[in-house]
Amino acid sequence: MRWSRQDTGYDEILAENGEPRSHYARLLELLGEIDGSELNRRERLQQLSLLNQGITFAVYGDEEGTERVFPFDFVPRIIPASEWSRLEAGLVQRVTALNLFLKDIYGERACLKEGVLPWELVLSRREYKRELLGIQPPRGVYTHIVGTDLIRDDSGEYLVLEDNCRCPSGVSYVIENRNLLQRSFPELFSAYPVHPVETYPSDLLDVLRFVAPRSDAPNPVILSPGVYNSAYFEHSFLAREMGIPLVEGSDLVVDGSHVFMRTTSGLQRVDCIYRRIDDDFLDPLVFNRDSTLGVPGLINAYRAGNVALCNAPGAGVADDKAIYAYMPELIRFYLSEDPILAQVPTYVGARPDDFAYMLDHLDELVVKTTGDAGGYGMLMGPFSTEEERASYRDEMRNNPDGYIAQNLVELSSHGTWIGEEFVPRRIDLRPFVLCGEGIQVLAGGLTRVALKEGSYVVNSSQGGGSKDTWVLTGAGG
Amino acid sequence: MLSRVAESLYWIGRYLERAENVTRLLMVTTEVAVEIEGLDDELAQSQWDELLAAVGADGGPPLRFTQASGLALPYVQWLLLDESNPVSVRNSLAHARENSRSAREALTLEVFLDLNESHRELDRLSQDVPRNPVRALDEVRHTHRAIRTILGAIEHTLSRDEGWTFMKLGEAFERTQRTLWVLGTRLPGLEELAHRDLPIFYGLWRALLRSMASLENYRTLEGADLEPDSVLRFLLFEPTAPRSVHCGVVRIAQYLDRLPAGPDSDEARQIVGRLNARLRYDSDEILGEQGAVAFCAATSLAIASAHDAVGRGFFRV
Repeated sequence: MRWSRQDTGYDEILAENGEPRSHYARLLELLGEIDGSELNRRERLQQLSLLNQGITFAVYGDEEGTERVFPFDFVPRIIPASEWSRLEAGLVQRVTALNLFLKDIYGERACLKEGVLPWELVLSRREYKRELLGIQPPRGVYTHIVGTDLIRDDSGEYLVLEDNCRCPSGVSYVIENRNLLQRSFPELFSAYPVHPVETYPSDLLDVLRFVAPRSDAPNPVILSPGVYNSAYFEHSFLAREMGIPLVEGSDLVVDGSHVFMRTTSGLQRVDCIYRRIDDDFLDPLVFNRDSTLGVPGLINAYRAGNVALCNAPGAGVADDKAIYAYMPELIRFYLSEDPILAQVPTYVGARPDDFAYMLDHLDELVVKTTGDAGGYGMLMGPFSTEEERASYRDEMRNNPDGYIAQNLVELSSHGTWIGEEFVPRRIDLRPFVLCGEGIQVLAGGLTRVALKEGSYVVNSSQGGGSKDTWVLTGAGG
Repeated sequence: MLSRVAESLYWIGRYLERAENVTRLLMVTTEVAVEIEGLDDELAQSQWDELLAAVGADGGPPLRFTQASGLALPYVQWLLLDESNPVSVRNSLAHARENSRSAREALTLEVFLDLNESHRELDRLSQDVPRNPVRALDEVRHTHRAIRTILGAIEHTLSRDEGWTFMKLGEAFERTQRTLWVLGTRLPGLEELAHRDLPIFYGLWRALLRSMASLENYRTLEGADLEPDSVLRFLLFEPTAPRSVHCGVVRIAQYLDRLPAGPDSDEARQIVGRLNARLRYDSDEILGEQGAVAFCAATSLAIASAHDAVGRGFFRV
């Protein structure tokens, strides 16, 4: 079976000389022993298994049906132990700093007073919630669950592309992808010492219990917007894995600053909510009045210290794309350390010089709106037309603060089975970091892959798929 | 357990029972109609009309059982696959699946898989509806087996907790109601036929037993003789027959007893408690003075008010 390289960027599997990198050599041999029709057969079975198990996500505005399978490519992405330990240290450092930053801007605001970043930049963020000033979340944890997106530059160096501090999703696919690959390609695992990922739910449950105000008898729940949410499968998956109730807003009620759920035996106290609902919809009395997803009075119960919310409301400001630009300085400011992980140099629309540069170099830059996620509202300058750039430029002028820009970073590529052959496709990596009594990085992560030839967009909503991600234990090099 | 989840489980139980019931009645009616057809075409047609009335699917377009219309084919399409028929098997499975998605954490993978798979199979089938009545009937049998697989998964993998109790409670409610409706619809026709000398007369009583999956059970207890009065007593009062009215009421009572107490759920307990006593001790009066058809109608209303009390007691806290 032939494997081909991408002309540009770092190839995860093949070195410049076309030979497989040492940690991939055995995998290529093993896959080479299975013929193409057998590979296709197994791929079909995988697809069927995902559908039958209901491992699907909803695509908004999609007319042809609301549920779709997140395509899975069976060629695993392999990360050697030495690479991983550096990533792990870098992620722990970064999440530590993110938490200190949130504690600071909702408390003393030392970073603003000392000019690490401008006041107006922080205060103008939509995700910065003044209503929460001075409130300490239980155990001082703001970002219980963080999903940090990483890419690799031409030399293979890992770069942080963005932090997700609100409700990062995808961890259910990490676990289900592993289950699926173990069932359909058991022979691949015999040659590699792969870190298990099934420990995540119990680690997450530890975090939820740790932050619950009643530490003797904590009663944590997951709060979901309901079956029509695109990530509903994940909400339900995590509830089942942890053995805790999956609730919707209408299942909860606040009485006397305490939160209860409606059960068949009456109201039952809840004291930790892993909420998969955005801040704005959490409590119609404090944030969006029209929200029917949330729970009236919830923030009041939170303020009284009777319920933990994971992640803490207001934490979203830390993953704002403009704040991201300042992360290296923030790490130095809070930890007096240099950042372990590099990140993509970023122009911030809120800085006049940067903004002028952005307008002049739109054809070279990737421009993003600061509040959005999921690849929405983005302009890929090098691939855009003159008309697209002109209309985007007009929108930017209306709200310079709402934009940032980065040079196009070539994503790394990874062999992927498409049609009848292994072809290179661009990938990224989202590891999951838990923050409770300590900080823990799940040894694995979601590798998303842009299935379309030449594409850079890995988002599930826009034609992306995923792979199993193998982190090798020390014994595997 | 969360009220919303309990309600979803209750409805999964009801929808699965409904799907099983409609599929079985469709199979049995096809067979009996084929048997009658050459003898009395009008009577064959009335079997279908009664079936639609008995399952609550008589609101659709007029259907005919003739060679020209493809014999049972229009009924298979309407009862198995049609999305505009509220009680079609496809709709029942779709509703069960929708409810299972919002109660996913209370189900096992096996139950969810089997449910999801059979729902998807019916979706596929409705894209490619068989045109041959024999093949169509094969699909009905296949669907019936798929539903029994789901029920088997429920039986074998779910822990006997509150969620399971709500699911079985829904099943028992639905089954009892369906037995009452079938009896209420079929009995007048059967009584009328008693005055005509028809070779098929006992065949229709046999079909009634088969449509309640009770023929073998009846024979074990009563022998091969199909005496109308003993068939009726069997379907109404026999406590060991899983689809008799009495057995259904006893099951509802047992499941309710396992659930938390409260004023509304106690009302439901009272209703089924009274029914239970009446079925147990008043059989002669029911069949004599009151009459079986009137009894079925009154009992159906009582069961419906018990269902409402369950909703108030557990689901709308």
